Amino acid sequence: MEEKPKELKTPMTSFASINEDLVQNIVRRLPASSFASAACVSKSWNQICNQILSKPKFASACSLNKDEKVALEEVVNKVLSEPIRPHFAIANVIGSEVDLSEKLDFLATKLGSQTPIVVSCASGIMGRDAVTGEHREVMLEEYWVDGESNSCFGIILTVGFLPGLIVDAIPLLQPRKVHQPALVDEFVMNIRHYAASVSGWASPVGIILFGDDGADQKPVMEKLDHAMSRDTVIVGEERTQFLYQSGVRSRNDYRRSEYFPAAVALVFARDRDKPRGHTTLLTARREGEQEILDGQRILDDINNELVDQIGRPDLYIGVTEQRKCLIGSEKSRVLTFLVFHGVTGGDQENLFADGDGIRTGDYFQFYHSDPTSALSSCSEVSKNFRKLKLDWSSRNYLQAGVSDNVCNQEVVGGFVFSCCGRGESFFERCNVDSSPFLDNFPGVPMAGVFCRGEIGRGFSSLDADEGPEERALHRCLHVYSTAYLLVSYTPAPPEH
Amino acid sequence: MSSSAENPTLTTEITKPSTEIATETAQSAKKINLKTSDDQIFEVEESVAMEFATVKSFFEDAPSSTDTVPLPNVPAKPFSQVIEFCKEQIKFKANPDETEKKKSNSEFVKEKTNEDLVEMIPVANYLEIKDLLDVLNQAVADRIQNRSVEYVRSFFGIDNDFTSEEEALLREEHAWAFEDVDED
Repeated sequence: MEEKPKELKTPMTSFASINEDLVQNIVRRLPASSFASAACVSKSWNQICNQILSKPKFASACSLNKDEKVALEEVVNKVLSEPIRPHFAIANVIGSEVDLSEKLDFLATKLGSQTPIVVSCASGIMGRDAVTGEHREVMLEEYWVDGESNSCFGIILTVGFLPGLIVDAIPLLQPRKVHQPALVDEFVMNIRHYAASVSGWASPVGIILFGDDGADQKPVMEKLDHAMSRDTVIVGEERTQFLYQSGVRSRNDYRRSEYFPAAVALVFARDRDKPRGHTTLLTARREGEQEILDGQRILDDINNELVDQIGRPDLYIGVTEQRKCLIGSEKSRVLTFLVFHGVTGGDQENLFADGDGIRTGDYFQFYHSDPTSALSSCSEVSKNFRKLKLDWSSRNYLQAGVSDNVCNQEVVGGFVFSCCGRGESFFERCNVDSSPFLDNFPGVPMAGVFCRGEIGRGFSSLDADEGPEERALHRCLHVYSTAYLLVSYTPAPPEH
Repeated sequence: MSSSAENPTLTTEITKPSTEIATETAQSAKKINLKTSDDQIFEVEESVAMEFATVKSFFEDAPSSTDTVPLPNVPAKPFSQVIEFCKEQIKFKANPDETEKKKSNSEFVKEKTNEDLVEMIPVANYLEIKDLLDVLNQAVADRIQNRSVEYVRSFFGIDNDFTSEEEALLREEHAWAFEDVDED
């Protein structure tokens, strides 16, 4: 046998010969960007890094530092202080005359120029302080009163790593020319094409929608609701100001074009090439409005109430609208929506309501904002979360016997979209809107906003039982409610 | 090592070969002889040696042993520094002061070269000195923070085993992190 001169084995002191645990112990301490460098060092280091970041991960932090630059640095440093790869980012800011494009540019340099990012204005934010680690719920107005005038700022940033999913920001374009409708059909089809191209399935796992406050999101939601499978979770803010960056360069040149984005959708679609475990998006949604029985006498009562009280409680009519939905030239479908319109006033004969789209013959009921029912429905959400948790752990327990604890479904993060009418002044207690999440998933990253018009897709049946789809009542846009988005993860069972 | 005149409590017998056992400390605690992979024999106070979980369990298995304990995976140079660290640590066992301990730990790593740190890690791991391993890992992580891939490779003496295509692809995947890095 031909004996090649043996290469000198690396001496024991050399780091290369050390077991993986030691490398892992070092690289897991690195902040996100250095962790990325470590992943490019060698094959074994790459493998070690991929083991550390194998599950979906969220990181969020908020800052109320009055110096916008400092606040921005604080939240970015915090969310990137641990290993993570930004697959998407959402930043919500509160403040007066905030320059969103400056924020977006900064985030793009820190999180990557091809990372989908949405920056939006909110009425309030909730989340964990980047410096103190304390959970905060802050409303712009209250904050304004406390702070010195004109110099308030707050930001909450969330970065998510979602292996097994692909994320992108897709805009709804509207011609800048007045009275030109937004290109809703194109928007819906873009989302479907995108989802189909990455997952082979036209309905994505979830959508987080940010609507421009100058555009009407009702027809958008109707079409989205119609076009997406029931499993597609949709949450978001209805009326806000936002800027976005898409991973696809051609989607980003809206700043100069003859269109403006009337909404932007962060679309989460399954990655067919990398099916790693199972990431699930779940929503729960609770109303803060109490139903008032309809009838002539009550209408009078309500009119009295309108006269006596200014602004509070806010009154809405919930209109059950049957609408024909179609996308492009496809077959149409009739869906039933429950849509809320704010009651702005009334006289002897008429009742004035916000928004249009109500037709003669539409059935409606009155609703008014009510902290008590909101509070009890909040604890209802909390109960649901707890049930979910118990359900998972019992399932884990059952499966543990068979295959060694492989199906640990766990929550990796969450978002809360809450009506700006809620919060501390509504409940006269703080952190109510965060509580279902905080109580059940302590330590799990969560971010939330108080917004104008919260989106949370939901269905309730007109019949007592789960009826045929035509009988389902579709509800997407809400008033005085909070929509919760939970992101959970179930590792893939090991291959035998 | 620094001279014993400057720092009498720290150094004394560390680097002395076992043949010249110092008589002036003979009345103090029991000593244990440890032999490194490059055949140097260190005479270490028992309390210090017991900081090494590996050595400790050796004596638990053979309590009456008086022989020299072989440490086949431990070279002399990093070992002497590990002993230095453990001597300091013992002081804090008597009167725990977290801030002082932290200060002492950070001073310990500050004066070490990159090579020193990298060499000590496997020693601390083999001897199962948890505190030291933690301090070293953090120190190394701090030193490679915000550095280029090439810097990290040379820091640890790791060969790049990617093809240039593989590396380009990987860098593309992590492109977000490299847009804002200062080159060394």
